[in-house]
Amino acid sequence: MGRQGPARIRSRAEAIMHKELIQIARDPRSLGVALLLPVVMLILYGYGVSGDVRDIRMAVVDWSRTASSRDLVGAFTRSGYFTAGYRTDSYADACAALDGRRVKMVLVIPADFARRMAGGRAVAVQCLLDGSDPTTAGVAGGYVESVARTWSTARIITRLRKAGMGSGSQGMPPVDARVRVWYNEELRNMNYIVPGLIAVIMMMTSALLTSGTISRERERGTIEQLIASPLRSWELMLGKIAAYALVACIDVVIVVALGRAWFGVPLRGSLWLLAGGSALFLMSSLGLGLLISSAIPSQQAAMVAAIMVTMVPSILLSGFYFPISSMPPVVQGFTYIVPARYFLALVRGVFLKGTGLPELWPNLVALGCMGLLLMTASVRAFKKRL
Amino acid sequence: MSVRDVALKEFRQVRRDRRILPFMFAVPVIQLLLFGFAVSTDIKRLELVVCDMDRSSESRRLIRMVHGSEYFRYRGDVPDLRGAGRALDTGAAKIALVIPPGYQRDIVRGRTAVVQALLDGSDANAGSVASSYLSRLVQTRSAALLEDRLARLGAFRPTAGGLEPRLRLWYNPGLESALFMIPGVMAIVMGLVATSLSSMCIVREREIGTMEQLIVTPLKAWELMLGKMLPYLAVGYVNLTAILVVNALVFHVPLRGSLGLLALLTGVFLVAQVGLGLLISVTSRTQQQAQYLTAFFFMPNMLLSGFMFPIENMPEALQVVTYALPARYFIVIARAVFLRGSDAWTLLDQIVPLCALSLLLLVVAALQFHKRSD
Repeated sequence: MGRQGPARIRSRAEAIMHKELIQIARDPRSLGVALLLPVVMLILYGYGVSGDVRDIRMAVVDWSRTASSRDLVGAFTRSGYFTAGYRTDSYADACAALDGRRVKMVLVIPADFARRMAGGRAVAVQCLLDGSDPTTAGVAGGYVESVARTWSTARIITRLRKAGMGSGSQGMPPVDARVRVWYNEELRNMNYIVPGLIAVIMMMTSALLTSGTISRERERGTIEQLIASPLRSWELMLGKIAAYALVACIDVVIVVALGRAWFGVPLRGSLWLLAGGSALFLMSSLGLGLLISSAIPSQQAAMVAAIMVTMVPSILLSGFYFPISSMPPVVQGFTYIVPARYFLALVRGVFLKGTGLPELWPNLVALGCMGLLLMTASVRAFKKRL
Repeated sequence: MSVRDVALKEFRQVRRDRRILPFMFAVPVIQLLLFGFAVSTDIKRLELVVCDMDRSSESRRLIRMVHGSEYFRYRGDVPDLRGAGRALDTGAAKIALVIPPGYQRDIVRGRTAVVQALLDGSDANAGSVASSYLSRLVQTRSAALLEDRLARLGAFRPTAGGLEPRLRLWYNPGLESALFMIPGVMAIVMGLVATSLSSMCIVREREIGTMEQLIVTPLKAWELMLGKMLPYLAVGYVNLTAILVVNALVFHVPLRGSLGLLALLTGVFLVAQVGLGLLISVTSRTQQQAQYLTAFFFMPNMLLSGFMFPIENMPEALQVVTYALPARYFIVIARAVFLRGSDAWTLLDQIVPLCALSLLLLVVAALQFHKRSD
């Protein structure tokens, strides 16, 4: 150890880091993957994943064929959420279109629609929705209700006006909601995703990359050399961590720079707070990777384990895409042991809300504790294996 | 030495590593539970604080409506706008409902009363959903008040021409996420286990130095590939069984179609995933490299396969990419067999490309192996 430039290498941990860096550099393909990954993820999330549901293709079965039924269909298409892609008189044809996934919804307007409307009675229109994609169906169902409600209100108001009673304020809706959006005024998905991606990518690169390091030495038989060297186990750990921390940091810089320059995500808070939080988060994710690597002898198993305990929870249980508050209580309990949860709250706070230490300190404390715990555990696991 | 011997050897190697066993069995089960329970695209129970500056019977009525809604979780009152802002800043609430003074007075006098909602938009998706929930709630109250007003005027009957949309959901009447998710999770989990395990199997021999021994045996390249493949296919079927059992016990997603068809097509899908793993394994120099490549493949795979996000909402260029993913076809197949009870004939447009893709991956992997073992 430490033969590569003994004059410049001051500590033994540094020597290990040097060795690990050489190992990384010698494998340009892996390094390329590690550096390309954030770019690909950003592009995919930026352009590919849209939570917006628009232009829902709808088959219209209009048995009423009146001005008011056409007005209703118009209200649907004017909303911007629906397109009347298919018009038919046959209920069976419309259902076949739904079955064949040519449309996502069928709107059925009954024959007595206009008559009942004119009589001031309630009218039911049927909407068949393809529920096999619940996200789209749930959102579409909401749109249907909203269109129907707006339409009914407009009808009532016109009738009031016609009756001569709606002059002036009587013809206005009694209550109106004005929603003001904070932090992400245009509700851009990217502003939400980019800060979240920082956490996911850091977790992936650091934990996944480190998860193989010790099992690899063991498989190749070079672990004996390391053990025989005068290194202490924490020095070995530190050296191994530092190299991968560097790669993870480069990844973060790439994501932040691309996110800001290309996708225009605002960074409103302090960069220092972000850097400090990242350091604490790196401690826990690297610690987790090393723990896996020390505890599991083969690289094959270590990798599956790393994906299992790092990637999957940081994506699913951190609030990265799926809001924690919507999860069942038991699963919500689990999220407290996922480091990415605290880091995500911190990153989003710094990026979008521009909040500082007074609001975000609990997350820092949680990250620090988890980092220390995982580091200690991994050093101990490594010692025990010796 | 025959295909059988290679398969047995590979199987023994996987089995000898005791620690890997729980992963093979526990991983799919845990993932299934996680995805099934955690990944719900329904947005519910959003934290909400109320700032009632009117304190009238009318404002309390609106607040009661919010309380009764499953979409919001009431997290307390705040005295003023500053308190509402702080609740959003610390993340204690996602939405703050502000009822200004004079709310009831405006309603009584027939003016439009305005309630304000402050919304944490940092989660764009939840934010827009929350905003539409709240607007709908207010609209409902507004419509009720309007009808009251009409009734008082004696002009119309109380239900003055209200339009009631009757929503009926096909294939998934309760609109349960699980129904949608479980077939997709099957594909993702089985694919992940199959590809990640098999991506190590050839490069490991190379790293350990046992590759030469395999090459000097009289085995043909395809025999070796087949032998390497079989244990991982078996693992895949074990995964499938575990997933089906957990589904039957916990999620109760009905299997309306044929189990035989599902099992058969699972095999085709597994061949594609293992083929991909072998391709990665053959072209990698170290296990670490193989590991990166697998991870690199899986992130986009999860996004683009239509597992969480509908493919038809993606831009054209990305939709083209999805055609190269085996999971894309298998997820459609699994959902159709589970939820719609489709048969092989109606799924032909998915089955044919899936078969072609798995064949292609196998051939490319074998060719690469042949090239590199010379």
